[in-house]
Amino acid sequence: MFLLTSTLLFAGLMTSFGCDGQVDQDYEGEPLATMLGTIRNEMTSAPPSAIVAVFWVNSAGSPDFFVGETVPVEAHFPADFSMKLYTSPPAEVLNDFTMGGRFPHETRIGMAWIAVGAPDAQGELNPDLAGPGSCLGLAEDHVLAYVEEDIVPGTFSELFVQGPLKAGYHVLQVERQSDAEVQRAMDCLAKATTTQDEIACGLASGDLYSDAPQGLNTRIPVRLVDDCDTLEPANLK
Amino acid sequence: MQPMKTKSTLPLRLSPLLLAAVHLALGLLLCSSVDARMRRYALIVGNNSGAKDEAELRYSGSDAQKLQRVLRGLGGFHLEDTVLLLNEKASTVLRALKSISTRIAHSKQDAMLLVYFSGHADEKTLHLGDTSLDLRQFERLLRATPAKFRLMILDACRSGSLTRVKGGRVKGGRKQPGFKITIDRPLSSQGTVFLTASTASEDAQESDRLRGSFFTHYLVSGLLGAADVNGDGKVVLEEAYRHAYDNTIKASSRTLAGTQHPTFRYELRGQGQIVLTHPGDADSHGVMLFPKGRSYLVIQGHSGGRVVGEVGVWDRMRAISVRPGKYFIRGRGRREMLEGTMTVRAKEHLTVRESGLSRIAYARLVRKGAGTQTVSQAVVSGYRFRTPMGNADTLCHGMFAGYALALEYFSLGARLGVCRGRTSSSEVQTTADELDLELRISHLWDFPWVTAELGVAAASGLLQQSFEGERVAPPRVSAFGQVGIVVGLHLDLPMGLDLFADLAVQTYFFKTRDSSTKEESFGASFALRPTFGLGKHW
Repeated sequence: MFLLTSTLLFAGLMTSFGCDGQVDQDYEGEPLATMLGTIRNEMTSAPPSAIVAVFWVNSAGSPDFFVGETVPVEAHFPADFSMKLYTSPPAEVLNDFTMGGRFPHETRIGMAWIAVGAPDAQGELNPDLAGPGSCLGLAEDHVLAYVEEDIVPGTFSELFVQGPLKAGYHVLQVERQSDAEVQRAMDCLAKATTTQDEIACGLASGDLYSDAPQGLNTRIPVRLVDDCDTLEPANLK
Repeated sequence: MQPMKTKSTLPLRLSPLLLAAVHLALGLLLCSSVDARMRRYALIVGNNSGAKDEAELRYSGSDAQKLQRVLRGLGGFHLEDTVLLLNEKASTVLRALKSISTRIAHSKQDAMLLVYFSGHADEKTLHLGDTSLDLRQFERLLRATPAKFRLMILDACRSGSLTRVKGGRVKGGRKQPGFKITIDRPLSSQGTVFLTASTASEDAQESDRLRGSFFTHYLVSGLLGAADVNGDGKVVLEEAYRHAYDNTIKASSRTLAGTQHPTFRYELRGQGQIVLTHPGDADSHGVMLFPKGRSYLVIQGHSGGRVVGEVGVWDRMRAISVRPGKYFIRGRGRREMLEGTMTVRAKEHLTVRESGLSRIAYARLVRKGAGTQTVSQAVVSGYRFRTPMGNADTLCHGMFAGYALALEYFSLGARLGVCRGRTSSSEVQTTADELDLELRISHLWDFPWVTAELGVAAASGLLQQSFEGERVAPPRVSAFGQVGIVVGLHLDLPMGLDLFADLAVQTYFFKTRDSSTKEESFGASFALRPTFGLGKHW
């Protein structure tokens, strides 16, 4: 009787504490974010295969390009893709708004293109997407961003992404500034004497970035073209 | 009534030493001549059936046959002078007694008549099926026979009314001990003696272990030689009764029915001892000699055969006279048994040695239903591993500890176990741990060297996965239930130790998560789990 009671009690306790499902050998961890997109083919002939890749761009560092996560897509267009982002980008690709810690209220932000390339004979992607035929397409109106720490309001970090984003991955939409807007910002910056004045002037980079309305649920459109030079990617450099 | 002694007188004056020597020679001559002159008759009755409301006995018939065998083999009773009646009516018994009486009357020899009954009875009558035999009438008929010496032995409930020894319960329900009979002089060769298995208010009990009734078993064992305390090769009446009395009390004191006290009444005169058997002299028999320290049961042929006799742990004479043949020996200690088979030849004195017997300890003892233990306990521990179940790639290696309870027909066990398995992928290294509490019930079969086990088990516990790597992967804990079948082998070692190995075929039930869809569901997984361990029994 004692043994039966103990076993039932044990079973009850175990049930209370053990409600997760066991994962199998294919488990790769919990993604920090999942990015969605749709590839449309505008090439004269569809490529036999393609790889979607995240290209991190470090505007001030070296190397300036870094291939992050990749995911192959089937060459049946339009093709939807889903890319699971399991890790944060490496520290060297993050844009350091803290200036080496001098501005502790700032943070570090990574910015990436979402590009499509053709795999080489070994099935690998050219890291520069250079060379004939290696670049197939790009998302022109969206970029992927990674914010290392919660952005504090009133900082350059907030100005850069047009809002006090939380730490983690974000899909940002790209808004093109007009020449006049760029000029106006540059004129203002020329007169600014304080950091707050500079922030108040806004960006003069030509492209403005803000959190996409649907966030990570945004289905990012990507165009495949015969010549990637005809595309207009966001100015991350 | 006290026995009367006759005195011898000599016409000549002789030296004291010579006088003593002559007296001794005459005495021995008188004893032996008493024995040699007496022709021995026996009426042996065994009835398993009693009155309608009485349960069928199991061993009355075999008790009667057992006594007949020893009387004929060692007691000098001839075949034509022994009448064995099994499950007969009262009228048949009375006719047989009268027939023997007539034969004694017509014989020119002095006669000894032994009448034995085993069966149901009450204070007044013997129950022979649906007939009954008045005890007083039976006694009168016995006294009326012309035998010089008459011995009536009753192994029946409340038979002590024959000796009018009251023992047992008195008014108010308080139990009183029976009388302790002190025999301080040899019983004489003329007259009547009554031996009963119990007092007038006690039951006479049967024992499944002895395959007979307590009283007759120890009486027969004594006649075979265990009662020969002076080692002269002869078992006299008082030796046989003393042996049966002491051992019946000891054995019955451990039963639920309570202690059974044999009783004794004698009406004797004359000189000379009544020798019932000659276990030391029989050329047709061999003798088995047993070491001290244990009781030894002698069984004919094999372990399931007829119980021949027993040498008790406290018996000074540790010899049993048996017919030539094969015998199964079982020596009983408190926590172990010794068993073996021996072959005895005529005139052979065979010494039984413990080193020649197999030792059976603890749990086997309980499963045999032998020994004084009804349960055997054990602690167990050891190593085990389980085949992968999907939450890991590798075997799940681990340990366990537990408790086992061995009963006669099944064993119960509880074990707490842990094990660990792993999965390695390029991105995440998984450690899968299991903690479980298992209950099992099994049946065991004992063979000469090993014991086989077959059982079922059920368990519950936790499965925990923990992950290492650069990626975010929080630990995952799942409760599970498990059922399985277990087969095993056990090897008895000295000092109550037991080495075992078993294989469990298990089905686990727990929640799983699909890595691609993230959907969770309950499922079943199959696993094999070999176990190797050591147990300590007590």
